[in-house]
Amino acid sequence: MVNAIRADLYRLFHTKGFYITQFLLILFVVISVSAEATGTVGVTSSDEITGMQSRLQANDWDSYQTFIAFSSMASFLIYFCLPLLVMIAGYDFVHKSYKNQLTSGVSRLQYFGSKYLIFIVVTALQFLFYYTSAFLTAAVTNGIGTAPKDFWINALQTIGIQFIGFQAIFIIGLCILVITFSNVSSVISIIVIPLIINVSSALFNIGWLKYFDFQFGINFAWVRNLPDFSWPVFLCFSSGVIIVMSYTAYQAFRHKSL
Amino acid sequence: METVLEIKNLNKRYKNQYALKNVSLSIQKGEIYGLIGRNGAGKTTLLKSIVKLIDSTSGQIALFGASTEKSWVKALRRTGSVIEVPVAYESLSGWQNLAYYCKLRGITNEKAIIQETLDIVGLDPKDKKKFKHYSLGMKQKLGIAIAILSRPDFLILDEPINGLDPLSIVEFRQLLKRLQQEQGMTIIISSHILSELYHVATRFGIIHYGELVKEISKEEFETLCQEYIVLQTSQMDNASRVLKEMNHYQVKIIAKDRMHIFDDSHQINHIVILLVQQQIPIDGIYYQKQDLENYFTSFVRDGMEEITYG
Repeated sequence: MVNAIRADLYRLFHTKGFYITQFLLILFVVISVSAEATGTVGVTSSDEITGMQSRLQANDWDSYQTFIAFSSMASFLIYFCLPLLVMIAGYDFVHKSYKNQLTSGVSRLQYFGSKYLIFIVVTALQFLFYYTSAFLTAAVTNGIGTAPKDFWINALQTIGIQFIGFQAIFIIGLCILVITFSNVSSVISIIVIPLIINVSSALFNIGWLKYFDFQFGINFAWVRNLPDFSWPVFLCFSSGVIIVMSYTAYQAFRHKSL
Repeated sequence: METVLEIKNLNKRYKNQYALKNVSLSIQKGEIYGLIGRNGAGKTTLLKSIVKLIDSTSGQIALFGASTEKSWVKALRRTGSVIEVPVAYESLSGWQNLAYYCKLRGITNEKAIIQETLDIVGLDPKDKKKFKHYSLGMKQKLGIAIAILSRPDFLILDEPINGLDPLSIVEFRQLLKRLQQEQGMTIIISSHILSELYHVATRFGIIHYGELVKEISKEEFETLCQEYIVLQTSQMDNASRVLKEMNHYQVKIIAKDRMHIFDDSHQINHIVILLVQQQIPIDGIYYQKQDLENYFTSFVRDGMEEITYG
């Protein structure tokens, strides 16, 4: 597993697409911090969220405020992780480079497991990069500022919730990638499925549907006291999706004629 | 001698159609086994079954004696393969691709191994060209380089000569011989280019509509493919009768104006005199030797019946 991570990181660091993605992410961070503006993907309609956005607009964007602001824009990270999924797993499935590994003593479970693990590690690094670059950019432009009460505990909880919601979105895309061997289908599913759930959840008052709205969860993970919303339940739903979809993806891959 | 691969009654069925039907073969250590067959005959399906890219419907495959799922995966660590087309990462150079696989397989002394592997396949280690800009020949070489990076005992090559220019084919032939002789590798190779396969393989298997219809060693083939005389004449019946009755030659009529005459003494002059005496016109007469391509063509065309020379 360690060898697989080393190898794929080596490959990523030698791929132009990786540097372009990281450059665009930095550009996004710099523009957002400079403009002191937030944005989200999808539909939101909660008073707590509106309140959070108002507070952000009232305060200067020092490093801590920027961190909070960026936590509400984390769904944009989906777009900065899509190329990583394509580079790590998509290329292998579409160009059949899995053959070089599967025919030389790597089992399908090991292969699938290592690809998924590498993606988890790389997206974790991408989260780190996203928040660190935002924090540092704000420190340069507006100063570090003073940490609000319980900031770091909140920050860790937020990143944890976001990361699990994020993986729930991507495992659906990975599953579709494994079934179809198509990057396009996978990318479309990652973009469209969360949006459909997000819009449906906002339009229809279905109690359980909001817990499948991973995009909402990612964007507002900082807000702990959302009405009619339980974060533990959200985490259970997200984890459930990760387990079911990863099992489905593996079974599809295991029985596929390659 | 160690049996590298043993296949018994292997079947692969897609809906109502058999891609492989009761295939049985065994390959011994040090052999170069040439798999011959038309497009869609089942060569790639057979090779994919060996490396577990597809599951067979029934039958047994033992790779290095391993037949269970777990031991098979372990046995595959002793193999290298290029199935269908060579695949590598397009944005990486040859060296970088090998570095990737070295890291993946936990190969130590990476630099020396890559250098040596590129030397073996004849690629320039200093070449910074990316895989996507490689010629087909270079891609084939890099595919083999990836396959032999861990110095496997068994190499599986599916149509590796396809699309290569004549010079590359000669280089490829030399490469295979080097791998067998210097690295001691056992090789199974499928190809359409039978003349080339003839030069490298030590044993051949003909696969037709999913069935392994014939296995023959190179020695057996050379014995079988003796030199014969081709006679072209407009009086085929008379010529055939004269040659059979008067001189007991073995003949095989190939076309309405052409026959093959088999005789160890190779007395072409004697045949000419005989036919002239009987006033049978000769449009052409010359020596010819059966090659693998003719053998395969005749074999498949004649409905898989054993070729006889009488």
